[in-house]
Amino acid sequence: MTDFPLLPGKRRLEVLGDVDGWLVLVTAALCLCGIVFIGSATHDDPVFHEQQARQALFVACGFGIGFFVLLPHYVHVLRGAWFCYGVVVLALLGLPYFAPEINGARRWYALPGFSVQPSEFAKLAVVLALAALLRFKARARTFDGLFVPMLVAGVPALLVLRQPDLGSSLVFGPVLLAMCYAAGASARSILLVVVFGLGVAAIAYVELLHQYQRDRVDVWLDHWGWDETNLHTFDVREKLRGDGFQPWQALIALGGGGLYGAGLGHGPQNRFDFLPYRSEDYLFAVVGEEVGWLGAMAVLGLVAALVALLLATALRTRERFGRLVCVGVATWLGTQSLIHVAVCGWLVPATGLPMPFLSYGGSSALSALLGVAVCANISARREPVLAGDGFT
Amino acid sequence: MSQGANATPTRTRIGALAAVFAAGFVAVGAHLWSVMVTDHATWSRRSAENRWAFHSVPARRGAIFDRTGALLAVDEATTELTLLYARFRLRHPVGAAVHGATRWAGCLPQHAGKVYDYGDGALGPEGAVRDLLAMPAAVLRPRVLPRQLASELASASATVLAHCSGQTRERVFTALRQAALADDGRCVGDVLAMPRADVLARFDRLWRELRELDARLLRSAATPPGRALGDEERSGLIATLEALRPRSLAGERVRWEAPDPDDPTTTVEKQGSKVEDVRVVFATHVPFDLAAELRVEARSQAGIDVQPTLVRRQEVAEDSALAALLGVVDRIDRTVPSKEWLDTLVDARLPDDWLHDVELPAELDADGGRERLVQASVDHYKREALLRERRGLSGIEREFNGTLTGRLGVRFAAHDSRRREQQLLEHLQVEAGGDVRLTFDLSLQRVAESAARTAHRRQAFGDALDRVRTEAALVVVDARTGDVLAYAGAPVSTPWARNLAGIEWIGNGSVGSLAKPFVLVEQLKAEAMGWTHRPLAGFEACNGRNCGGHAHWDGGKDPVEALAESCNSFYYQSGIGLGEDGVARALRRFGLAPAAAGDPYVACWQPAVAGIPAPAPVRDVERTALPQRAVGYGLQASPLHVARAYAGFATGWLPTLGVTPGARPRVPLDDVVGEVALVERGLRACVQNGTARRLRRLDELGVCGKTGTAEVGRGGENNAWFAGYLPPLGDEGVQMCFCAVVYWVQDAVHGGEAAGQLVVDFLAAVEQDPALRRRFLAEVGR
Repeated sequence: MTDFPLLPGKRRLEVLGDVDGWLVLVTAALCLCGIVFIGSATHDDPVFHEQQARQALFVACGFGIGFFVLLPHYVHVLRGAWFCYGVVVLALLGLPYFAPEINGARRWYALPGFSVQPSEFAKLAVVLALAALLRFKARARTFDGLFVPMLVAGVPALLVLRQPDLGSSLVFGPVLLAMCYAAGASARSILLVVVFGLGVAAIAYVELLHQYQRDRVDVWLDHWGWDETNLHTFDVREKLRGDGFQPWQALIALGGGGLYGAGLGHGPQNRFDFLPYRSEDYLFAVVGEEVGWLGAMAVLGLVAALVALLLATALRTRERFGRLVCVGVATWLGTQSLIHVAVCGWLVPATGLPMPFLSYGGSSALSALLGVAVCANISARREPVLAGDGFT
Repeated sequence: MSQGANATPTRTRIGALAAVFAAGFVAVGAHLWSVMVTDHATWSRRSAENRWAFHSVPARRGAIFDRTGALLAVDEATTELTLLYARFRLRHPVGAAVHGATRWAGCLPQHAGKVYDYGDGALGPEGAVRDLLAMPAAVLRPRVLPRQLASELASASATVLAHCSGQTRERVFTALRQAALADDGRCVGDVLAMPRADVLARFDRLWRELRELDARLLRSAATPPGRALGDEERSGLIATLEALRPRSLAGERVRWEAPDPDDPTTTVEKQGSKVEDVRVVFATHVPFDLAAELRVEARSQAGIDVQPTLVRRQEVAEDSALAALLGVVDRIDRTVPSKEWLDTLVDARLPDDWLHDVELPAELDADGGRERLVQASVDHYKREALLRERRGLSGIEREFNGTLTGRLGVRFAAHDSRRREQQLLEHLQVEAGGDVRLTFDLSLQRVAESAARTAHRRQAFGDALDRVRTEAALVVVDARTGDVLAYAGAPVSTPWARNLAGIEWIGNGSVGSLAKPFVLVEQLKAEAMGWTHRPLAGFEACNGRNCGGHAHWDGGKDPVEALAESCNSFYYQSGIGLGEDGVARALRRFGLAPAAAGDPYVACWQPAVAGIPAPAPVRDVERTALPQRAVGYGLQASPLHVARAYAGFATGWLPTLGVTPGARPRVPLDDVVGEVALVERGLRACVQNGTARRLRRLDELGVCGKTGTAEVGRGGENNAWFAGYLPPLGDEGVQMCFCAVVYWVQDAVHGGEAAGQLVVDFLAAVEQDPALRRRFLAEVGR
C-alpha cells in the first residue's frame, strides 16, 4: 500500500474547523427531519411509539461516533477498509446461523437492547473496499481490471439478497458502477458491467427471487393499467388487498398530500393506520402526505444537496481514495434515497429500503452517519498535490 | 496542479454522475408532481374513499303478537357462518390440499381426470394432502410447469406446510424454492425440518376439527338456510364445500336473466362474480360458544367468517297452520325483487335531502363530490337493503310487511385500517319495524289445530292417495266483530304450499247443506215480498225417500223442521220456486256470491281477508242444476267465508272479517230480521233434535248449527261440514262462530259425524283450559 505524503501534523481538533459545515448542517437537517417524521408516524402507535426516541439516540450516537471518526486522518480508514469488509462479509455469512428469523428473513443480530443489521454496514464497507481497490488507476481502465471490484461488490450483494433483502442488494450495483466510472473505467467497460449486471439481475429474477417478490413485480407491472374503469373489479381489489396494498396506500398518501400537505401529524393515511411500516419503508409517503409536494421537494432538496456536497467534496479532493469514497457514499445515499422515494411513488416495484437519515433504523442511521463522517474527514484534509499525478 | 482551470476527465465524470443524480431527482420530482399535484384530486378522493364509508345498521323487524299479547314471531339476534370459497381453497390447509392435489393430478397423465373432494374416501382431503406433499419439489423450478400452475401448486403447498408446521408462508416459500433449485429429489412434504409424518398428522387433526365443527353445527340449532346458489340443497359446512368445489374448479360464474336493454320483452343472460367469490351463508342460529370459538384467531378457519345477523323466530310449531298463516320472511336478495321495487323502497326509506346539507370535509366536497356521495349513499342503501333487509313472502308477514319492516340505518363515518369508526359525519337513524297484533288467540289456535289433526287421523281412509286428500280445517271467528280467532288446518292440496307466496288454501267442492239456511231466508223473504217463489203451502210432501226415510211433514210444512232435518226435497222445491235469481240472491245476501254495483247486497261481499290465503267463494252454475244449487252444490267456499255467513245468523249482521283488532264495518241484515230469527230456531233445532242431535255436548252448550254433507267423489266420498255459533257472552264478550270441514271422508260419513265431532272436540278442549273457558265460554253450558 502506498502511503500518502502526510502534511506536517495538524492538531487533531483544528481539523474540525476545516470540515465542510454545509455537509454537517445538511446531514443534521435530514436527521432532524427523520426524527420529526418518525414521531409523526408513530406517536399513536402502541407498538412503535418509542421509535422516535430511539432514532434520536441513534442519531446522537452517530454524531458522537462521527466526531471521533473526524479526528484521525482518513488514511486509517484506508488501512482498515479491508478489515471492515472482511468483518462485514463474515457477519453476513453468519446470519443464517446466528441471526433469529423475523418475518421470514434473517437480517439482524440480536444484541442486548438493540439489534445490528450487517447489510447497512456492508454498504459502507463495500464503498471503502472499492475505493481501496480502485484508487489504482490502471486497474480501473480495463474490464478485467473491474472483475475484482465486481466480486467485491457482488459477494455482499448476493449475501444480502439471500437474507432475503432485495432492496438493500440493489444499492451495490449503482455504487460499483459509479465508483468504477469515477475511477476512470472506460464507457465500454462500464457498458459491459451494466450488461453483465442486467444479466445477473435477469437470472436472479428467474432463479433467486421468491414468489412473493415476483408477485410484487407482477402487481407493479399491472398497476400501470389500472384506472377508474377496472379499479373495482374483483381481480384488482384482490391485488390491492394483497401484494399491491402497501404501495397503493403509499400512493394514496402521497397523492393526498397535494401541494402543501395535510399538516404534520394530520395525514389521514398516517393517522388512520392505512400505511404499514410507515416509519421505515414508506416514511417518504408520510412526508409527502403531511408537508405536500413543496415539503417533499424540500426534503429531497436536502438529499440532493447532500449528494451534491459529497460530490463537490469528491471534486475538491485530489487524493484518489478519498475522492472515490466520497463518490461511493454519495452514490449510496443518493441511490438509496431515490429508490425509497420511487418505491413510495410506485415508480419501481415495492421493496423494503429505508431512506437514509429519515427512516427509522439504528444500523441505517449509524452507517450513513459514519459514511458522511468519513467524507467530512476527507473534506477537511484536502491534500495539495506536489507531484505529477496520474489521477486525471 | 491547480484545481480550477480546465475540467479533467475525472471532473467530467463526477459531473456526469451529478447530472445523472440530478436527472434522477428531477424524474422523481416530476413523478411526484404528477401524483401529488396534477392528480391530487383523484388521489385525495381515493384517500377519502379509503376511510369514509357507509355502514349499515340492520333494523329489527316488528314482532307479531296474538290478541292476548303472546309472542308469535320476533327477530332474534344471532350469528351466522359464511363461507368465501375462494379464500378457503387458497388459505385453508384442507381447501389448499384438495385443490392443489387436483391440479397436480392434472399434470400427471396416469392421474388424468382425478379429482379430489371433501369426502371420506381415498380422494378426500387425507388422500389429497398425501399426494400433494409427495409432489417432487423440483417441479416448482422455473420453466418446468406453466408459471400460473407452478404458482398455484406452490401456494397450495405453502398453505398446507405453513399451517401444519407453524412456520410463516415466507419461510415455507423460501424452503420450497431452495428445495426446487437444489433438485435433490426431495418432495414438497420434506422441505421443512418438520418430518412429513408430523405434518400429515397435524393436517389430519385439522381435517378432523373441521368435520367436528360441521357435526356440531348440524347437531345444534344452526339450521341451514332454505336456498343456495343454484337452488342446490345444502346442509352444513362439508356439504357446502362439496357443492362449491366443482364450480370453483370450473371457474363458474353467477348467472341470471335480465331484461335485454335493447328489447325489454326478451331477456339476456348476465354473468357476475365467480361463484367462489360469493360469500355463502351455510349456518345460522350458530350457538354462541361455537361462534365465539371461531372468532379466536387461533381457532379461526380461513374462509369461514362469523357474522352477526337477525333471524325471524316463530314461537309456533313449524308445521302448524299458524306458522303457515304467519308466513315466511327472507332476505330481499333471495326474493329477486325488480329494479322498480328496489327504487321504490329506497325512495321511501332514504330521505331526499340526506347528506345534502351536511358539512363535508374538503376532499369529499370537491369536484362534484357531494353529488357522487349522495349517489354512493343510494347505491349503498340498495346494496345493503338487498343483503340485510328482509321482506315477508307470504301470510301475515307479507300482508303487513310495510308495518313490520323497519328502516335500515346508515352511518357515514371515517374508519381506520381495522374498520374502527373514528369520526361520524352523518347517520340515518335505524328504525325498528312496528309490531302487529293479531286477532288470533294462540291458545285457541293450538287447541283448534289439535282438534283438526285428530279429525284428520280419525277420518283418513284408504290408500296413501286417499289419505293425502283427506283434509280437516276449523275456523273460529268472533261473530260480533269479525275477528278471526283461529284458523286450523289448511285445505290445500300441496304440502309445500304453506311457505310459497301466492298459494291459496283452496276448497275442492261443495259446501253441501250448509247453504240451506240462506235459501230458507230467501224463501221466507220471497213469500213476504211477493218475489218469485213457490209458496210453502204448495210444497209437495217429502216422501221420506229422498231424505233417508224421515217424515218431515205432519201437515205443517214446518221450515224449521225442514232445516233441522236438512230435508233435500224441501229445498229442491224451494230452489225451483225461487229460480236462478232467488238462489243467487240468497247467497249474495250472506256474502257467498259477488254482487254487482247497484245491488243492495254489494256491501255483503268480502272476497278476501287480508293476511289469510283463502280464496273467494265461487259458484259453478254451468255444471250444477238449480235444485242442486239450492242444497249447496256448485258453491265452493272456504270455511272462513262460511263462518262469516253464519255469523250473520248469530248477530243479525254480517261482520267484516279481519286479523287485526279494530273496528270494521258491519252489514246489518235489517231486511230479513224475522227470517233470520226463524232460521236461527232451525239451527238450534238441528243441534237439539236434528241432524246434529248425536252431538250432545253441542246442545248442552247451546250451539246453533248446521251439518252439511256434499258428495264429491265418484265412490261416494263426501265433504263433511259443520257450521254454527255459541250464544253470546253478554254485550261485550266474544261470540264464537265456527265452521269445520273435513274434506274427502268415506261414503256414509256425514257432516255431523266428521265435522261436527271436530267442533265437539274443539269445544271440549276449550272447556278444559281455564283461561280459554274464561275468555270464550263463560257460563255457557256449564
